[in-house]
Amino acid sequence: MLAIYAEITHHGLEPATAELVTAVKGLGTNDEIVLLAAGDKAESYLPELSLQGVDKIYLTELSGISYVQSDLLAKAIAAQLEGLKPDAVLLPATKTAREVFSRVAMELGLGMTADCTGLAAEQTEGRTIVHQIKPSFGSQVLVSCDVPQGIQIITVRTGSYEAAATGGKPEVVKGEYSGESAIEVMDFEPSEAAASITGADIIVAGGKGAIESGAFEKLKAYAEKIGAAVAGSRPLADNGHLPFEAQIGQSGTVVRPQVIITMGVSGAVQFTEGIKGDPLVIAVNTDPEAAIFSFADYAVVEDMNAVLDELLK
Amino acid sequence: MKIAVCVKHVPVDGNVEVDPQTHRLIRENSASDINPCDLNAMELALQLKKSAGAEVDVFTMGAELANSSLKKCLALGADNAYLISDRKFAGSDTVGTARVLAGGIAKTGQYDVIFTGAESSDGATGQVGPMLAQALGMPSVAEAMEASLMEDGRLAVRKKLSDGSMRLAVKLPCLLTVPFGCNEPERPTLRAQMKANKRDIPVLDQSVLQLDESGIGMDAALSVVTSLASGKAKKTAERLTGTPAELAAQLTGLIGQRRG
Repeated sequence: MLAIYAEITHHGLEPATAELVTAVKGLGTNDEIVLLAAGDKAESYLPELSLQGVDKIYLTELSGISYVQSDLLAKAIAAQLEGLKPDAVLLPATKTAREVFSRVAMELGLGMTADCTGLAAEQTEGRTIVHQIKPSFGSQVLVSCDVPQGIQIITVRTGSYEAAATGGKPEVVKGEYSGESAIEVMDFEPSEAAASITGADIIVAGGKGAIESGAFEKLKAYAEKIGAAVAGSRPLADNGHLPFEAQIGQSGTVVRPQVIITMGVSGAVQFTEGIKGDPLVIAVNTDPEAAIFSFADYAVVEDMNAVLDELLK
Repeated sequence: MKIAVCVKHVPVDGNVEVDPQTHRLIRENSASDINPCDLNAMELALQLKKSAGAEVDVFTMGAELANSSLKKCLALGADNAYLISDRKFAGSDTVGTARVLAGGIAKTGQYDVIFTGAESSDGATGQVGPMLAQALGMPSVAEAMEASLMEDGRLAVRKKLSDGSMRLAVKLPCLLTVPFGCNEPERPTLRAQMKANKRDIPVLDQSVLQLDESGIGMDAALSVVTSLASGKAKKTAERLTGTPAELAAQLTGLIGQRRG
């Protein structure tokens, strides 16, 4: 049995769930594929959880419990895993799911790998082993790893799998769990546009090209629209388009975002040295030979004005 | 109040490569330092020390080299530091590491709040903090940006989420993991650093901790590395194609998937 953790957040079902179903189907084993979902009013998520390719949904009602109450959620999931004993459980690489499953791994003494980008399965002696590839040291090293014993806990970085469609007819097994959490939720505050680039999860960075093409105001409007912080390369700070603190680079600020979109940045090493961690990097530049394209994950060779006009629609 | 802070001594970003022949890590420039967000954890601990009154003890698990990270924390204002170190602890996976840290912390005292960085810059699993909390039987809040003591004795915590933040009230004892960039860590003064450098740091080894050896170290690791390969080295970006509208849609899709 291969299980997928269907995380239920205050926005609803984590969209990566449908991608994980595709990832698990792609392993090509004959294992039963099950979803584990736990949360408040869990039953209301059944239409979205009924993904094609899923054999069974284990639905645990946690009345009044939020996904950030990791102490209680981990207990509920650990109890479920102990009962089901799947070969592996796959979860999206969200920070909330990894917290809950870290606790589960410790509680049950299970091996856990993080942020896998590649999966392959091997069926041996009635057990499926999932070989995992995980980028480490900021993606400079690709580590292949296995969890040879016990339930394999695998967090998967999604984004590259197609989402499975709803409209499947999985069997539904309902249960409930109750207990005390030491964590009480007071309130939620949506984020304003990030004030500082240091702690920002998402950054839109402009380079000289953004000034030359007159697109910098649009760039700022786009950043505001998606709640990103605005940053830039040195020429922008030197010419007063940005405060010095918003300059990324060796001589500026070091950032560790989840996502950075560069526009009109040539990508000199003095700039890229300021980007640490392992963010998703999308670079927009009209020059297909720009150095930034050997740093970025995705290249958009197009006039940024045209792209920004569309992004602002 | 007693506060513990767990820090990790890591290779400085960008210095690690894999030897194409031996598949081992090459640390040509072997510079190492305290893990970046551990300084944010330290800063939050020192803020809580200031507002609530507390003693702050710092722990790290690693080789003797890791003492330099502990000494940085002493210079920043930690009261005591402990090096958890033994050959038998080496090669632990995240569960094993959390068990060893839990052993060192439990041996040293009863702590009301434990801080760790949200993730290390090398492994970046983000697992050890919550695992440590579970091992010590306390609640955890990952990605805590602010913490202050409430009148009812609980801790008011602001937890960072991908689209905002949540205010939580958490019973003590508890563990908080702290993300990079949520505050501005002080730099130690030269004088404080020189004073800290002279401190003797007690070593907590297996003879002191007496941990169950079946659950720690390389042999107990349940997550096993089977091979290493170079990653990003000579990378070329994947080119997105289409009309500006199609490009914009792809961009929005990619960002949405990654933001979690």
